[in-house]
Amino acid sequence: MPQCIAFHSYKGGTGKTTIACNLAAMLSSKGYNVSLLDLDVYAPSLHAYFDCNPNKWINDLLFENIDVHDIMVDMTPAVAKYAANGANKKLGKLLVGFSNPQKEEIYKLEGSIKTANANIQLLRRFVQLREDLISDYDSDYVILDTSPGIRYWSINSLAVADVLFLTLKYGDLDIEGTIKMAKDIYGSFTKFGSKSFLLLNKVAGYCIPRDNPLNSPPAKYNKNKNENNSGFSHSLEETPIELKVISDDLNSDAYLSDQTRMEMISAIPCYCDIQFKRKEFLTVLQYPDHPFAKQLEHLSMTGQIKV
Amino acid sequence: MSRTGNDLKRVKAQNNSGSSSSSLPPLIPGIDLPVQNTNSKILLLYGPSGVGKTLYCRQFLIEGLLKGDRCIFVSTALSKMQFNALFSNIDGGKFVNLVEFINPYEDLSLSNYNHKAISGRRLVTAILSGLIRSLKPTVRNSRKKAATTSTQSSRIDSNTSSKAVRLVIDSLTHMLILVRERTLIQFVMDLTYLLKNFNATAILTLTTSSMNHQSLVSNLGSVVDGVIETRLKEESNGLAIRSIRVRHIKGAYYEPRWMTFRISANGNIMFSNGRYSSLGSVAQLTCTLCAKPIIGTPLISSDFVFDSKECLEIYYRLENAYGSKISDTGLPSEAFHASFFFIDIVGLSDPTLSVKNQVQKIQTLNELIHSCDSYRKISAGKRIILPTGDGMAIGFLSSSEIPLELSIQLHHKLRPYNQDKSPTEEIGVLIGLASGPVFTVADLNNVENIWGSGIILARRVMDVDDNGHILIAENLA
Repeated sequence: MPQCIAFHSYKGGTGKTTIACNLAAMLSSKGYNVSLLDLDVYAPSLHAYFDCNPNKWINDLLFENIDVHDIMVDMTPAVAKYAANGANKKLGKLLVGFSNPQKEEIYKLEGSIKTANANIQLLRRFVQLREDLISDYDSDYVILDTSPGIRYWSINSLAVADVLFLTLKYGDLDIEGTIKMAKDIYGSFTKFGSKSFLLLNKVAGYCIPRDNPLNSPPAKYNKNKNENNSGFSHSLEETPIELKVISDDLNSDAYLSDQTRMEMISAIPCYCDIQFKRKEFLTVLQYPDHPFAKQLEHLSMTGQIKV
Repeated sequence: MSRTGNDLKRVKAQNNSGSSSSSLPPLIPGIDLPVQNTNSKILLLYGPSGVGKTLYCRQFLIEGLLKGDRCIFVSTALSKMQFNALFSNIDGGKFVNLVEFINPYEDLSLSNYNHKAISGRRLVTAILSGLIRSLKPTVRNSRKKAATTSTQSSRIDSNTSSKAVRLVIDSLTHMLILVRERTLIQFVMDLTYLLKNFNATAILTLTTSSMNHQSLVSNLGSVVDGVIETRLKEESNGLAIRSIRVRHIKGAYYEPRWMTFRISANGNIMFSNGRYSSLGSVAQLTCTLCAKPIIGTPLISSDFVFDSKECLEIYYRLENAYGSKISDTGLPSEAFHASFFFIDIVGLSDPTLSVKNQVQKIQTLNELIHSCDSYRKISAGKRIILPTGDGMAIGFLSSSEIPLELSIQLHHKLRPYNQDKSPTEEIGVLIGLASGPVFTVADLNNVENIWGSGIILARRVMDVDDNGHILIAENLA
């Protein structure tokens, strides 16, 4: 059964787009048909991520009722370029729908939220878009990169998804906001069939400056680390290691799960080589041995999102 | 695959899985009768006024038209115009002209008005005469067919005569005003005789309102082929629940079991078990969420219909997430329960009061209400505020005790405020509390508004209140 997966967060900068794009590419490289939609309509970024300037945008589909084929761009060649599949393994299709970053288009989308009549048209076309991606493209996965916070289009995006990943970073502001948001609206979705999970991202512990002993993690978390000359504990060339979450409060996971009533599905460490790279692009395919790729591999294999 | 392809697949899957219970459409809407292949069938449909007997008959006829049956509607109550209105909203009104309409009074009015002319027997005769006239071509054709003539006309006629006939007589109740029970039973027996040579199914409606009708139902039940009972039950939440069951079918075992049904805004009958019959695609029933015409069996939940489980779930996720703001999305909302605090400032419209004083009173009241713990502890999403000019209505979605707590706290704050004020500066308030169902609607400015018995009752309770009192409706107390 096709799965519609939404990545959402309380605040921006939690890594939704990076995870969504990499997961989409990984699933596509495994042979699944994947449709990825940029629904961060207030601050779109997928066009920049894929360096693509499409003829038609999701905005056009919502307002002009054009066909879904006009907005979805086939990015399978990008997957094929990097995927180390071998000749025998068939790739799935990766189709991406982009949101228009032009300020006029963003205003228009915001401005349209005035009359119920206008809104219902947009909402119905949006619901139809999801359905078309599943029926017309035979998508196994529809992945939605949503706007952070509680906004009109983020709520609509979450409502059409089967699986919700609420991503967050360790930080008081993010945690408190996430807990409140989870209490306020996530129950509305899970009550009617959605599954929601916490996805902790950018957890401290991977990138540790060599000369700063204060930043060294506790020994029990650091036993496999091999430092190198880069000043970081790992480089892309090194053998990945299994990392555990390091946090100020070892009970944080349990606290978050308890407060949000959501299972913590994964805790992805902060990889500085990704975080500060000028342009991260499909790391899971370019560097399949990178620990980040292993983390997403783990995420893609979880029963919660398996089709 | 296109959406239509999906729909067809779903319909086929439903048929294959047997969700429609059989490949044969039901003889009458929503109910499988174990008498599909017998010739004439006369069924008595009875129940209280307002249960939907006429609309049930309408659906019975439309389903017949879809199957290619001849359909006749006999009514002593509906004019031709009312009959047209009854069928006009189905598929662009094309069904109106396909149903033969007989009103016996039209025959009677052909003669000069004479109160003796409108006797019970004349009415019965007019109905039967109208029916004979309507069925006459078929009768003649049947004879011709029996004589095995080979003329072209007989070939055309034999096609006509092979058509099944669906007949509705709505209702026997009107005839009862003019005829005695014995005459009515005689009429039904004559009708049985008239229809016996046809593949006909007739529904005769009877409005029952008391136990006295039970003996009539029992007597009529002995001369018809089956009896269908309807009932209208009011739930504690004020909603009417309609149900239908077959009480008995002559010569066949049938287990009486109630089945609830709803009547949609366009008059279609929808059964709680998902049975909808072949009317679905023609009646242009559309999904509440995606607005697409529903092909196959709709999913019915509360007041809404959906074309798939996905649409149903997405709708309820949106409704839960947006709460009372759901109307902003343009989606319809269900009625929800709210407890209301309705307040009015006494004498605010007094023309001798200065505008400044009026504004001051309104602002002060707003500030005092806002300073009450009971008001502040309820999040904005769980309350609805409607300014009324000289007061306001606040609906609380969470707890029915909050309006009372707020009223008491407000009075505690008003007392010290009024202590050193002149009579013109004092703020007196009327407070009415009530609870009940309301629903959200968008006004002309697209501002969310609510309407329903909950807020109306609170207003009425407040209107009979006195300054300094808190009046609570019985349903909240």
